[in-house]
Amino acid sequence: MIQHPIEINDVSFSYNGTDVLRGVNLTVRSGEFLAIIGPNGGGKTTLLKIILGLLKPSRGEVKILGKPPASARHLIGYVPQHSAYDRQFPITVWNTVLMGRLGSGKPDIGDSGDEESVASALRAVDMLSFRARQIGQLSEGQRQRVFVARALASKPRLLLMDEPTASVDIVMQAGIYELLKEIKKELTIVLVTHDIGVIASYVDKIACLSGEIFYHDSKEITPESVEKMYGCPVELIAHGVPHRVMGEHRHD
Amino acid sequence: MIEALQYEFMQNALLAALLASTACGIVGTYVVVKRIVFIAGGISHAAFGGIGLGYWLGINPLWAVTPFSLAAALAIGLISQTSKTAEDTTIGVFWSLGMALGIIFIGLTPGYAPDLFSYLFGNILTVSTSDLYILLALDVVIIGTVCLLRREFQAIAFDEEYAAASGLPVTALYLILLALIALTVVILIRIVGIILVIALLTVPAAISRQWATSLSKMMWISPLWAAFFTCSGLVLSYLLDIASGATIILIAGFFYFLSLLLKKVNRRIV
Ligand SMILES: Nc1ncnc2c1ncn2[C@@H]1O[C@H](COP(=O)(O)OP(=O)(O)OP(=O)(O)O)[C@@H](O)[C@H]1O
Ligand SMILES: [Mg+2]
Repeated sequence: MIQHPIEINDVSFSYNGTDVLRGVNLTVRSGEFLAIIGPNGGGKTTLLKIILGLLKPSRGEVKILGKPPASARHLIGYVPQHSAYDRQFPITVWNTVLMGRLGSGKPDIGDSGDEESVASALRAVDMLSFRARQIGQLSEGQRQRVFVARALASKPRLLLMDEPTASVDIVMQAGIYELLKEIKKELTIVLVTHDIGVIASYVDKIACLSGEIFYHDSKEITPESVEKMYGCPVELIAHGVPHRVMGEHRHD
Repeated sequence: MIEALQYEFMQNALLAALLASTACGIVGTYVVVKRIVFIAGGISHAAFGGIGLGYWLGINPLWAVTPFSLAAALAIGLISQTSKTAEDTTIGVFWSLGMALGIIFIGLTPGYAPDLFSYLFGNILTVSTSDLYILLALDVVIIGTVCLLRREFQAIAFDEEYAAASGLPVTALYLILLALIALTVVILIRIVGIILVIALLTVPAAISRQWATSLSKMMWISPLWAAFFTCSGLVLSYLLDIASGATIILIAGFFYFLSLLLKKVNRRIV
């Protein structure tokens, strides 16, 4: 049996009784690049945390690379949307990215493997020249790039990114998307984003998450429909009915 | 003063000060950057239960306080990691529970509890040679563990959730870190006493944090500050014939505020 990077069957989740996810099904195949869009509070971050095993679903089954989520963490690179770290924490950019190498079972372990992975990850986001800088002395977007590098440095088989380009400038945004396009040959990518206009040309599949999950095939997305895509979540909230953007939504 | 150094009690006191400084500088670095000062306070006060237990059992309280504060540290850590109660509530409960147990134990012990005052407020001049061996062993355990796990500790101090997401056993690492704090508390009780432990765990690391750019630099600088505070406090208290623990803390506090002030001035100039 083929082990897909992500297999989620009928997963529901609630925070203290408030439903956040209802009956979510999601299969991501090896080498796929999936974008998840949806309204604020739609459950995108929650879903990523379930994939990481940081949150346990109240119902349903999750398999990551054929394993229970918590035992697949060393194969996943993660860029959190927000982290609760202290901006003034005494640590350099280099050592922050080096943290991506922690946890047993990462490829190329050992000092030289670490060095090479950290350097190439920093180069990929164009932050190598900042290697000795304190993390607190970077701009928000630069810090975000460092966290992208930290995820890349673990040489993951599955990359989960929660709005990695939120405060990144347009040039670097394009840079990150080009980078993803290049590395997508080797790994599977799940990207949560609001840059609907940009992603269409890069991703294989788009899911819209707003409590429940709906799918679009990327070929259905044309520049003209992008405008309407933004309407998608809004319509869902307002009327609670499936919306029509490009063809019918379908539950996978 | 020079002739005082010929006395064994003075040599022991200085050695104890250096051993304690190493532990509190290294472990204090984590206490300060991970912002678990309150936990460290809870552990050190709960340790009083161990002192009482030692009196009651009729053994050296330093022997009883080690397992007792380890148990308190693990209990605080486990409850705060697994239950939904706020961590500071748990700490508050253990803080007073440990002290209450200590008082009960001492009450149950027949006769007067000798040296009780020195466990509360420290008396570095009464450190015996066998105490020094205990302190040395604890130092070796602390330094060895930090050398082995420094990258992991740095990761959980920086961002626990990310550390968990990258596959680190966060709860186990956190409990180990709390255990190191408990051992450091045991060391420091001999020097400054339960009530004042928290100052030595925080002030040296807090000062070095204002100037250091990495955890490892903090871990080199903090023990030097701690050694300076303990040794100068020791000498001053001897010369003026005042309480040693309190003198050490007053000096530490003075330099803490001086460092804050210098940092402010420095920032204004730059
Ligand atoms: N720790 C929490 N406790 C209780 N409720 C939460 C918690 N975190 C999120 N929620 C709720 O769960 C829902 C989904 O949140 P989630 O963070 O997954 O949304 P999101 O799709 O990532 O939104 P955004 O686009 O703003 O990042 C929201 O309604 C939110 O209020
Ligand atoms: Mg989110």
